[in-house]
Amino acid sequence: MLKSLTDEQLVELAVTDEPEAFGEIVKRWERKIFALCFGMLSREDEASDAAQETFISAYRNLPNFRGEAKVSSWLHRIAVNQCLTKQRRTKTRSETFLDDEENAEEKVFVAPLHQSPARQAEQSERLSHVRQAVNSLPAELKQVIVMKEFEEMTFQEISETLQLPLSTVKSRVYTALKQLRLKLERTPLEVV
Amino acid sequence: MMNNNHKNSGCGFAEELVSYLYGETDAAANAKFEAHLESCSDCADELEAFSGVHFSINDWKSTEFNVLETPAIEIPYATAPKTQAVSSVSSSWLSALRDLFSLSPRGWSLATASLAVLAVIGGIVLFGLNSRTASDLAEANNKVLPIAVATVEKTPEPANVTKNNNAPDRESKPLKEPNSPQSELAVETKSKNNRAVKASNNQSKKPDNTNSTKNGDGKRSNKNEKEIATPVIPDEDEDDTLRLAELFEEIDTKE
Repeated sequence: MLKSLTDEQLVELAVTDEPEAFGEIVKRWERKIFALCFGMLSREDEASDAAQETFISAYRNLPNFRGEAKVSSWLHRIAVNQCLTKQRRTKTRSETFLDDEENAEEKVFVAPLHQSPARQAEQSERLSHVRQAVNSLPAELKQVIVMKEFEEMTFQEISETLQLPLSTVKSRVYTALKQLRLKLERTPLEVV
Repeated sequence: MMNNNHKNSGCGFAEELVSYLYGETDAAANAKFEAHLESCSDCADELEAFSGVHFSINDWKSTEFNVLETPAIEIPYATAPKTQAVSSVSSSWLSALRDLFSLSPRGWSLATASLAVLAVIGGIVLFGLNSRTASDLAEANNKVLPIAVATVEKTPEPANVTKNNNAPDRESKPLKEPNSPQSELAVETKSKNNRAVKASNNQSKKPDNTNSTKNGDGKRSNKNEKEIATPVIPDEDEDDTLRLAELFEEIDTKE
């Protein structure tokens, strides 16, 4: 029964009668929110925490949801704020290349088993460059590129979520790609 | 580090380029942009570079993110969102302020009733003060004005009394200054002056108080004299002195 309801109907149900209806919203959006958090924070543990906090915060503030925007947009905005708060709190370890390198190699990177050690090291380095480049983007550019690449949202969806004009979203994605290109060109990457 | 030299912004195909890159263009827009690519090497170069970036991010995502399991999200359903929301909302000062002014209808009616009661009490107090000050003012007018008039009228009088009746010098001394200001006479409550005024009053009480009724308004002047004497009620010693003064005067007249 819950599956047939829209997000907005589920929110209403969760507020009035059945708090567990919010579980259906969690099921629908947890993967995408986790992807957004991972793209923004680059670390599994932090992304997991941010996703958890996003849904708990949303649940607690369900009565404040006015229905002016979509539930998905609301969740994304909460998630972006959670990620930005986490980044500020941890001083974004990725800002310094060495810190990022250490954390990335120790905690995040999972190399396929069939690759040789040299190949693994090469890929690890390449991915850390990409991660570093994305992390160094300004927040307003990072969130649009992560939504686009990690969540595979359309420009229209990003526009609605961030409440920005469509042309602004496209322009930000263009600028983000341009900056990433420059950052990645400085470190020669081997395309696999 | 950041290069803001957007070549393709100049040719005006930046938005079309990203839409084309992510496959969000219709067939007509595709054809138009592909036609532009044939003539614009900058756009073609940029599209190739952006594709590389897109691929790299995708590679990062598929290598590091896609292998991860979605974390189990645990929602505290035990407490209803509404009650939790209240507690979380009350944490911010803005929300607290909003709560302060968001009274229930009963609360508003109570607040209005309290305000009305306060207003009534305040009105009564103000009215009482106003009426009191008005009566005080009227009293003050009745008192002060005659004093000024009386002092003006009475100023030469003791001199006449002393002249006619040869009263002792110590009593007539202050009254021998006809040029002294009225206010000084009205305010001054020194015993000598008071005695002199009292003495003049006593004189006016005598049957032959022609000087006091000289102006033809004897009743009024007597009243005024009483009013003059009121604020300077002498103590018992002074009364004795005054009686003594009367005695001296009587003796003088007899002689």
